[in-house]
Amino acid sequence: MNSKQDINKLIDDTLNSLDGAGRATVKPYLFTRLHAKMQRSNEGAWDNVLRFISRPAVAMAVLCLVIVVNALVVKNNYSSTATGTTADEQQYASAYEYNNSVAVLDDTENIEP
Amino acid sequence: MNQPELIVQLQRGDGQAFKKLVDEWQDMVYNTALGIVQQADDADDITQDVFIQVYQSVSSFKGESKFSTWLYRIVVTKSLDHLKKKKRKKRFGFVQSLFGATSEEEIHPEEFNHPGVLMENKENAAALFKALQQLPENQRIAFTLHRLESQKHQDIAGIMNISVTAVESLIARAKGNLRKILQDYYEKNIN
Repeated sequence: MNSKQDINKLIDDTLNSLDGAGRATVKPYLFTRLHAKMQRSNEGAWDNVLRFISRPAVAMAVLCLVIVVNALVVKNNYSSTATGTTADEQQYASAYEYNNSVAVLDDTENIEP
Repeated sequence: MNQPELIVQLQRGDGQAFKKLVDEWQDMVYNTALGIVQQADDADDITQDVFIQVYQSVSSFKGESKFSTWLYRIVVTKSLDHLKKKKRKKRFGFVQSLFGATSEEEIHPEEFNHPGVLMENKENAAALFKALQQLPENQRIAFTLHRLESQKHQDIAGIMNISVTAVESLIARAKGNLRKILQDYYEKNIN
């Protein structure tokens, strides 16, 4: 019983422990620190952009994006090169045939009457 | 220079008026932030952020509420944002510790001693501040503004944008909850 009363008194004392409390005072030279912070926040937009980019999470995300884009570009180039080679070969072949046919036309010995 | 004049000067971008305003309100801003975040360095950062916001947005102050109410609102919002950020950081604490970063708890001791509390009440006040951390946000804010900043219920209602009755109810519930938390705490620690 005594203990319960003690606890209740302790709780009351704790709840009233802020009675008569004064205001905490800020560290000296707040205005100087504030002024410096404001100047830092007034830096150019490029500084902010650079600071944002240099964050590890952003840098990693950009790096991953660059790798993915690179992979896609390489893949696309490879497939278009492959298609391009076939087309060139066909063109070359048709040109060769045309030359042959020209050669045939020039071949007077084989010209049919 | 009275307060309305000071605000007009500030709205014109007068640096001297801003310095005067900082000098006048810095302890109020710091004390409120300190009561909410319970960490001196964090409260100092918040104090700076509050005044930067005041400087940037004082033009939007129309004088519909008291300047102190407007200022308290900024302090409370900034302090709560800070606590939310800190909570988010704690969630990633494990990942940070993998890379060798020191966790927040190691840097800041859990027990908080408010420098304005009377010497004989220091120990009890530390227990009270610890218990305050377990209260819901709005109860904590109402209680802190009432007890630490001696704000009237009507002023707290203006700051929190709720009715006076709601403030009274919040403070009563805060006291009830604190009593329960403290009872558990003392029963465990005394017996």
